[in-house]
Amino acid sequence: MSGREQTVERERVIDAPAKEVWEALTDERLLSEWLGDEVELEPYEGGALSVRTEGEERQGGVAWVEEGRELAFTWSREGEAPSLVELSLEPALAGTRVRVVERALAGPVAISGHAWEERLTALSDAVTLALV
Amino acid sequence: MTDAVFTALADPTRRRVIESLAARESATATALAADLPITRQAVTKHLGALRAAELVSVERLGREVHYRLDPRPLGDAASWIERVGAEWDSRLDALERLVKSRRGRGST
Repeated sequence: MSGREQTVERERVIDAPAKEVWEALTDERLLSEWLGDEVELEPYEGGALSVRTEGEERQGGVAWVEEGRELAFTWSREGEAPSLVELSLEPALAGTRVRVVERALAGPVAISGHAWEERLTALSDAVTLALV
Repeated sequence: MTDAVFTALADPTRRRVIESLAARESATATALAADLPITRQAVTKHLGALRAAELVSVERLGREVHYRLDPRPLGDAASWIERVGAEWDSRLDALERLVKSRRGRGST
């Protein structure tokens, strides 16, 4: 049990059709308004990605694309282990659900989904206790 | 972050042991048992699980075994999760604002 599995998951429902959200995920000009200050992206499998934000730079590449639905890329800050980011869209009652999963690629995948959230609660409790 | 760390922290009694250990530089199982509503044997068992997760280190002083808290396994994982989570919260805020503002412009 030496694998380091670190995953962050977020969801957000945006009141807009998937097509408009997808544009914001794949158009460099739009990406530069939310993913970073200056984003370059070749939105196809194997394409390059670079994201500059306030003096920090990330380099990476597109892992896979499912047109209109999912964009996955790896990226890393200089000197750091890379992580895999999966951005996916699905229709929701009030628009489009954006789901993001960022997973550190330093170790084997060991923990999934909801088990993580429970354990994370335990972790943050313990961290709080340890720091008191 | 190891699976062992999560397993170790999932138990509320073990979190009490951590809390008690965090209050001292190091402690014996006997001293910890005096603090907690459990037996020395139970404390030793929990310390074993915490050792397996590398959250606790052990030092032998003569006939006594002293346990010491090592919060590094918590710190590494917690800080990465916290940082990356906060980054995505603010990126998603910005994405939502962007998409909404473009909608606004489109409809007028």
